Amino acid sequence: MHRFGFPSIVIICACVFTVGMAMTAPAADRTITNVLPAVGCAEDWIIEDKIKLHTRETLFDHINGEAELYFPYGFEVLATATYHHKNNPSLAIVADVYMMGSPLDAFGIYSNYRKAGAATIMIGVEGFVSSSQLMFYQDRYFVRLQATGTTTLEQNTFLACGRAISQNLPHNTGGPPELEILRIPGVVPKSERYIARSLLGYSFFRRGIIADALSGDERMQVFVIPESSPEAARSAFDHYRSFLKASGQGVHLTETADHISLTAIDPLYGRILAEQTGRYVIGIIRMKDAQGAKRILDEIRKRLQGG
Amino acid sequence: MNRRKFLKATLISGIAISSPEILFPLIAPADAAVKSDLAVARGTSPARITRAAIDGLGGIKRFISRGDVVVVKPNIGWDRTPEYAANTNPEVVATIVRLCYEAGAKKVKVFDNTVSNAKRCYKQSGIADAVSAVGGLVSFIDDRKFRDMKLSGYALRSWPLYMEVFEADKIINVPIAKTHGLTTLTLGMKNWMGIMGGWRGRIHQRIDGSLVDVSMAVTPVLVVLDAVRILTANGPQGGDLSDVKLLNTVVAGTDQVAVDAYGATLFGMRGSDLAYVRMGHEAGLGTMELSKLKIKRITA
Repeated sequence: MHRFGFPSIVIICACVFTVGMAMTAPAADRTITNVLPAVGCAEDWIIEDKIKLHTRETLFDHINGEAELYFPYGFEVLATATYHHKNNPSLAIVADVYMMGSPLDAFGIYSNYRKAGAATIMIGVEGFVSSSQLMFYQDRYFVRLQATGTTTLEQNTFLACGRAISQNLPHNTGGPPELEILRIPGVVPKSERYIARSLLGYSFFRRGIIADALSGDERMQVFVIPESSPEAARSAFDHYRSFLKASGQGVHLTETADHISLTAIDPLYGRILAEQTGRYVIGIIRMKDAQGAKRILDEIRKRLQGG
Repeated sequence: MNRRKFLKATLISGIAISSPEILFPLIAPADAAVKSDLAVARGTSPARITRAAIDGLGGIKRFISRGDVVVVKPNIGWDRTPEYAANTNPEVVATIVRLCYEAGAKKVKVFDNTVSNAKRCYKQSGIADAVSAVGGLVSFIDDRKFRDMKLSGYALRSWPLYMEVFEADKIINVPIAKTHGLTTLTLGMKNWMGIMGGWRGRIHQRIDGSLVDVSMAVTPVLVVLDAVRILTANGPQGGDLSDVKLLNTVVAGTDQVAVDAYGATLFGMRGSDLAYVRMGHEAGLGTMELSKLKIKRITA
């Protein structure tokens, strides 16, 4: 398994950020229009009308209030087209390609829709298909195909449309490096979610990744909050500690050379273990097995420290 | 996402979706002899429970008179078939149209300012066919019929609204109950978005106040909340059947705030968890205090 060290994560994130900033909105608009097939997305499925673009100002016209979900993830522009079946125009596929702020943002919005047990597909970095939807993300793009006029669409049609779009996107199928932090034993694969605003519902945790973890039969959740510096991470950690104290719970603090940790009862999430290490706050919520939780955090800390 | 919203999201997926009485014991059943504020009908036939809920409030003739021109305003916003619970159930809408004609209505008009392509929404929702079959007049929104109207100014001092609504003698609001990315839930007050013109982005910037403003401008004689199927996640557009829950329920009332407050309980929430319900209550539009209402429960 590829090990992702702390310095590598910083460098790759910086590169992604720089490339994203260099791409101006009009250029992005031109690029994304070419992503959707101009004539048909699969055999017998032909485009209806023109490809439309939606920006932050007009995204509401396409998905109404669901637009708010996209904005924290750096939404820039959406290209959308409808393809209908040539023999039955009431059957259609609405193809939406969203350009998000970064690959991590594209993963983040995708992970909001991903369902446990969904059939995975080999398109993009990761994707799934159901009887009425296909979704995947690739590079900084999130792609959503929706069948309309039916509750069941042949999977081959979905897959053909998905591949036709994927081949027009940047061929970056490596996934955001931040997810590598949680590629450790005990963390349930494909349970990760990236929350771009207020992880756990706490404003002092600005953003972060959360995933399910197992220790024996005990299920808990692990989180990772990347901050800009160790000082910023310490500040977020201290905010959490103050919040726990203020909620009337006892907080047990332990400090070592490379990290500071606490155990407490969170009013929303039960027993928790949290620590600050370098520029990260990491933790376990809904903890039942304290030893198992500690083992998982030890693994994450080693990964962050490049061990 | 702030803490309150996070908690709401957690609650939605919680245990109380189908049995609000478990969480909200103060919602007391009404004495049958006392006039009801809300009627909640449950059963497997959308048509039968719609009729039963309206009968539970005293019957359609309490609301519609001979010769009335009636506007029935469902949610037809999305290019989805009824199974997805993105639009109002077509049987619920058609039953209301039929009841209006039975009460002697002269015309019953049905329309909505859709989000997706209007022709596809009207067709795929099943509403155009179902309403036409019982004599209702289905029309697409005509942009020339929006006029700026003065509003109460919680968020909007004026806004273009659809004049056919205000030209009608009676208005019946027929929303569906579902989740919504911005307002947590979309119920009756949110359904008025479908009579608003202008730029949706501006409305969404101060959505809760905007909904109170438009709800104070419109006076429905009746609100019939479709909860035959509810969309419990990824609203408002949905698109996956695993997000849909069958409740076989229709809620009817005359108080816009009260119907929405009851609607919130279908998702394991309280009316006060929804900012627009709270604001509507405080503005005197209606009450969110369900414990003070007479609620009639009917199995049909």
